[in-house]
Amino acid sequence: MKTTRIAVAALIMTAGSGCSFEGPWLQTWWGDLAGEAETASFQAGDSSALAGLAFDRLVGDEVGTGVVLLGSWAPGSCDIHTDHMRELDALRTAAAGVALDADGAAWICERLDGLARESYGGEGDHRAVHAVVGPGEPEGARLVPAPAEIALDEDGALDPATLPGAGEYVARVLEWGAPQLPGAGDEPGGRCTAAVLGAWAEEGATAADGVRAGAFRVYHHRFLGEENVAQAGAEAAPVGFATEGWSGAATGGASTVATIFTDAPAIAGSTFPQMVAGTRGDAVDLAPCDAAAAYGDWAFPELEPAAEGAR
Amino acid sequence: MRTLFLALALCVASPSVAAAQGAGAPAPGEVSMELRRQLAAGWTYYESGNFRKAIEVLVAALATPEGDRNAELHYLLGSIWWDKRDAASAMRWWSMAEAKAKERYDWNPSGDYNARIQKRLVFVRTNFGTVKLRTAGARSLPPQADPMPKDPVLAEFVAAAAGLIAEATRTRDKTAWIALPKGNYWVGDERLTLAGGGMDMAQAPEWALVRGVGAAKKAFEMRAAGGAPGPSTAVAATTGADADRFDARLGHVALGGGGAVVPAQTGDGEVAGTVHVEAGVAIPLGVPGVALAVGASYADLPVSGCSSMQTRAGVVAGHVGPRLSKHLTGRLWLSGEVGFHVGGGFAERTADDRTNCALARLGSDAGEVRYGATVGPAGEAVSFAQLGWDGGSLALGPHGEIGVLGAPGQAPLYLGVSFFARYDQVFAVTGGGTAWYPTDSGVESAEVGALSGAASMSRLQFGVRGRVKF
Repeated sequence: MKTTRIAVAALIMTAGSGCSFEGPWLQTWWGDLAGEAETASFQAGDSSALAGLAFDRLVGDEVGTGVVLLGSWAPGSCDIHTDHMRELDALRTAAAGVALDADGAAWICERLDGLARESYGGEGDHRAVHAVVGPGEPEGARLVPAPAEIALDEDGALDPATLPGAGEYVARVLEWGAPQLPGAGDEPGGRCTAAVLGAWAEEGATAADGVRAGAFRVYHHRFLGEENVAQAGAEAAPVGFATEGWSGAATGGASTVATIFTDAPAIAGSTFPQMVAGTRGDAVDLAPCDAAAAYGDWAFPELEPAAEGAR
Repeated sequence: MRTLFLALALCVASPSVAAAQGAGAPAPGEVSMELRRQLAAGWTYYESGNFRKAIEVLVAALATPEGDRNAELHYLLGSIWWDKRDAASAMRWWSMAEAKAKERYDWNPSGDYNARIQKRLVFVRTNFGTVKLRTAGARSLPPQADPMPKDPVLAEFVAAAAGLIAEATRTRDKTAWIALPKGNYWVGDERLTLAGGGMDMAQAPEWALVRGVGAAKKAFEMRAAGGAPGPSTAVAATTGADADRFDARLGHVALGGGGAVVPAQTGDGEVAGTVHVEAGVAIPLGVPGVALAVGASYADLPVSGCSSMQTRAGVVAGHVGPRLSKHLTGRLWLSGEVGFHVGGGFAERTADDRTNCALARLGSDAGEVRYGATVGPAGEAVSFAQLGWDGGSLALGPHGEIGVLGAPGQAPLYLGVSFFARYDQVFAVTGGGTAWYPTDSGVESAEVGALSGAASMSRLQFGVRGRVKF
């Protein structure tokens, strides 16, 4: 039985930024599970104001629930999220007629930056936990991570075996802007760059692909068994979603305490292969946001028949 | 020598003497030698400015039946009181002279003398009004003309009122009936109007004078210091003095509001609200009615912080420009200013701003830039956010206003209201760089400087402004 001690105490001691916003917060912690799991220690990264959104979404042929925990420097909202995603869709459409060359990449990155700034203020930094929760009522008041990410089979069709079941979720984190890593001074790079998009272009990607690639840094789902969490100690937050009023979450009334494990992508200057995003033990209300369902393919293109594969 | 002078004066001034030496003079037998002597002495004293002796001689003559009937004697007494700047008394004597002349068909048969009396009476009735003044003791403040009559002689009648009032305070009823040039007068903190009409006492208004103490005295002295007429052109002197008083109020604060014209890249601009506050000083330039206005303002302007709607920016600017004023009437001035301002602004977007922006964009076509920077030759626009604008700006432009400024009552503060127009060219501070935009043939770019006209916003503002000058 693995034991993963997460230095949640240090995380919880991470105070707010001094902003008048009193929470809830979306906090990140960074660490490495590759070594001795029992001694793994996660260090606090940055935190941001949190807004919770929920909506119905198709999981295979059934209706599950989509959850977005939206973190930005000031509280977001369903309107802000929906507007931003809608603009991203429009940019992706506009990019269809553009070559993903240096000029095209420069335009895409500049436009993405402008959209993020306009939606989220400041330099546009924002981070969202996107979760797909399987259809059906959870047995308890806890949503646990599904054993695997949603995947396609050999024929490119959605593999039903990888879909989250009742009480299970698959989560990804989409991030614009550079995270503040523990111990790091200045933020490392990582925003959309012509070099990043150029690498995609060399693989034959279109400008529309470039929009998707440039829009977000993606943190993928990480399964962590519930037993691991049980031994995490009193200071550790349980992995998953602790829910209240989950029935009909998409219509409002639900709240959750979340701690999500992810595998972090390669980030310049980062030595942390895992990132945890969570609410620091605080419950966040989930506001109904039906409009967000139309843009679910940005996090989980596998679930959208017309969407292309995600990276 | 003195005798010679008196004889010459008698020959020139006395109508009786003159009449006796010319055609149409009253028959010598109609005026006794004694009365002739008294009249001659009265004219002499009058012409030499010795009113007291003149009155003494004439009153003695008036005590006789012959003197009481003599029109010339009454006319001369009226003239003396006129020169003593007591129009009411002068008018009474002239009116009696008129009556006496009518009783004596053979007096001044040529009519010239009657015409002189008539002319003076008409003048007084036209230009003077009688007022009943209830004094307030020995310290009673006389009415202050506002403005002073432009005719310096009339102004002397205003000035002489103080002496007449002082005499009245020593009477039993403490009331003075005096005739003053028609016009506006300050009585205490009231600005009253005296119409013409001469000696119609039935129509005379009654004014209650105030004691010259405390604030009333201070206000009186302030007006007296600025409102004294000059010896020649009374109007110009009065206006100039008042304008100087206006310019002497160095400080001011103002609050304005109105609309700002906001053009849009999509052609459907709007008029958004704007407000501003301003504080400054007016530095006198030595020319009445002209000052150099220097100040600072804070203006809340609409700016294009969202590609689908206007957000707000605060602009702090320094102002400089000439301020002109022209006296209208009383304590009312036409006041205007033109100038130039330059300053900096910052547009901070709140969480509500972001939500409102999102809602506005959701209500528009996706990808549309209604408010932004025009960077392409065909009007291609990008949002200011795409240029990396974080809200900092440089704002500059001309401004102007025209309105009225006045002081209610004796208030030391001047209040004004005006129409203003202000133009701000708001340059977004972006750091400069390349702006990329799509075209039908691909992607094009344009270089945008750190302070570029392309990345700027024109904001023509107009509205109403209130001003307090102190």
